[in-house]
Amino acid sequence: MDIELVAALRDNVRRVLNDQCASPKLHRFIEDEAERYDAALWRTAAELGWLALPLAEEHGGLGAGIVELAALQEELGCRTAPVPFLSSVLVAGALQVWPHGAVRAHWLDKLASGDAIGAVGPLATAESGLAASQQNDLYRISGECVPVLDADIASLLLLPLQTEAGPGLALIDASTALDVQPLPVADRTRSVCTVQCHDLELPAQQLITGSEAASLCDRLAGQAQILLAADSVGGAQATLEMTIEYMKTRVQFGKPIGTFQALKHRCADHKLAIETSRRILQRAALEYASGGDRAWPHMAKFAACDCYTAMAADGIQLHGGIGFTAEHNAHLFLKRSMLNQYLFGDSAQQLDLAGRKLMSGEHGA
Amino acid sequence: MSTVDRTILDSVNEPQRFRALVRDWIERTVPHGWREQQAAASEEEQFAFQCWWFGELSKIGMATAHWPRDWGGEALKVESQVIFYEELARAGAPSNSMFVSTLYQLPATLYAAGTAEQRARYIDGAKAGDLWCQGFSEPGAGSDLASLRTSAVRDGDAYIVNGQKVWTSYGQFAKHCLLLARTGPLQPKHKGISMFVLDMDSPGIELRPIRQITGQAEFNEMFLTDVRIPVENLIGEENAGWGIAQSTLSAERGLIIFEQSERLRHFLAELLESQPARDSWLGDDESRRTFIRVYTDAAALTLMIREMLEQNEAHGEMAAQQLPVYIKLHYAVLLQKLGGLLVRVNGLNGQLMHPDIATSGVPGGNWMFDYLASWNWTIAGGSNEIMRNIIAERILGLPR
Repeated sequence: MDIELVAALRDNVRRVLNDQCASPKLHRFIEDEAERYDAALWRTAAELGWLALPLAEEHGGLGAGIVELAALQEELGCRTAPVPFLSSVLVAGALQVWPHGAVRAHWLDKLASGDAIGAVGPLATAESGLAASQQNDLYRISGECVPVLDADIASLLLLPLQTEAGPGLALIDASTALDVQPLPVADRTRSVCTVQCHDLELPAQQLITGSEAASLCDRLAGQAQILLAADSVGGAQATLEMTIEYMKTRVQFGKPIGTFQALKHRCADHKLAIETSRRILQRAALEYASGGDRAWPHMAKFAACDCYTAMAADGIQLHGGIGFTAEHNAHLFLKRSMLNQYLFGDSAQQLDLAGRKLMSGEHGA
Repeated sequence: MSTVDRTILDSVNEPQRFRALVRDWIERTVPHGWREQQAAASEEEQFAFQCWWFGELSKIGMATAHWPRDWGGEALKVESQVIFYEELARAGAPSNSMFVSTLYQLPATLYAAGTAEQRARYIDGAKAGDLWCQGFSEPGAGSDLASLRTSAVRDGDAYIVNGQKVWTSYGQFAKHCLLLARTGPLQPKHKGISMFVLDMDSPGIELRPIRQITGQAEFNEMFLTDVRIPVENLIGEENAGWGIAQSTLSAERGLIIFEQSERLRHFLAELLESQPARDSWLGDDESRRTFIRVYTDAAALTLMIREMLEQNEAHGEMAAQQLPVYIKLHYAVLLQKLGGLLVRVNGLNGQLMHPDIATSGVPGGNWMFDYLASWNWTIAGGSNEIMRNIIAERILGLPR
């Protein structure tokens, strides 16, 4: 990892988002129910190469790792940017190691150019209601999978399922006979859907099973947890900065409310939580990249998500009445923080997974 | 000074050999059953034991090896310190808990504001085991330290000091004291304070021990009546003591937690492996989840301390400004959380005071004692609330 490269990437992303994801624009997007993601910002992201970032150089990418992706996601989190980056990155990650070359070749360039959006289901096969049965070179898939991130805007879906050979992971073309229903989640900056299929036929090379599927699932879940932690650290930091600015200028009882110790101390605790969860996140990304300690993504996820939900909730309270209005950004952070907390396993689940890995010695030295 | 056996110090560039030599030295040096002996010992015997341990560390150059070369230390690299502390923790070796002022506050103060003569006068003594204590707090000046009232009035070549100090740790054993006293009674309160070296055998000093909630009597009240301090014992300029105290206090806030955090890391890892814990409370979802939170907090503590030490290594001692504040508050909160958890999950045993188990600074079987001792970290050296004020005002920029 090149520290200067990561800093330059951050700067670049921040500058673009300052311009293209500023509050008025974001609020116009939120209010327009027909808009499922910010297509203009997505195009910019593709043009600037953000979507090709994780891909190997042979696919026109930069071969960037989790550290760079987390930095980018953190900046997206600062702005609650409504783009399907997380799901697309995870699908690209699966494709890069997909054992069938034809599938890889067909999709990777489209993902890198932003022409295809990826959708991703829960990365735990036990949580999928989809089942596949094999008939010669085809699988037949039936059932329902919830939640699937960005299914309504995606061209390619990565879904976990059960097969006769144990856990499975399928890549499904969105143009096939899928029934996709977006759900009315409070966080409008992300799309969450149910996906149903009835006897859907899938070529065998689009499905992997057994330990191959289980280990890819686990690997991608770790990536998802780290990226959500990054999004949360960014969101928490942005909420704190917004709140501090307000507390410096809002005058009550003849002085800025930022002078009141009862409020100051809450901000200090949020600041400390952000500082500690950011460091856990950074370490988790390094451990993930080097294939080290496997408890870290879970530790990063619960630390950052708990920090974000607490900060975002208090962010509304510290803004008082104005924080309760739809035109303010405070609720965007809260809603995104709550969805981050839920996606890919909430804090209780992360604590249990971390505990299991630490106690089974999977945490390395 | 006796000559130092540099065998261990000279091996630091070979980490495995360094670790093996340290382990071997601990094996040969730490007496078996020291905890049991110390638990039953009087305070004088405990002090004698601490001095003996300090002396043993000095013989191999390790008592002050972490000091920068400027301070007369070895500028031991962070990785080597980690190895040393890991081995101490693994062996359950004693810690230098009485020497905090000697090892951290004294050199930080002298190298921030002391003269060359003062450094020469005191540093060698400190390296040889002279115990230092701190005379900052007063009955009416705790968190609001700048309102202290102990007065120092210039009289020829000396200052005459009158007043009362409190929470003077190990004052009964100390040779010197870093003392804050008011020299400018007409100045604004922050601008009328000076820092002195007070020799603890000066006439006019009376100490009264204070018994704590743990049962120990580490602290003292110190009464000062017409105590003479020679002018050459003034550190820095007259009336500049507040700034000196602030910078030295904030610098050592993070440093003194380094060894603690390494021992804590070791303790938590052992607890996770402990079969009795796994067979009981680690099987309970709520307790285990609380534990994993503390474990993660401890990991963050380690990362922050390493980062602070790296900043200091790269940009000079005390370069890190914000991290020591985070580290102090984070450690205090985490220690209390852990202490409360361990008392609870140990049932009735958690409620018992075990005078037969001496503590080495991190939890270890004397659950209630360790829990009670955690308030030392949440109150002393700047309470949690003062740390929150500093974060809110100096770091976040909220108005006063």
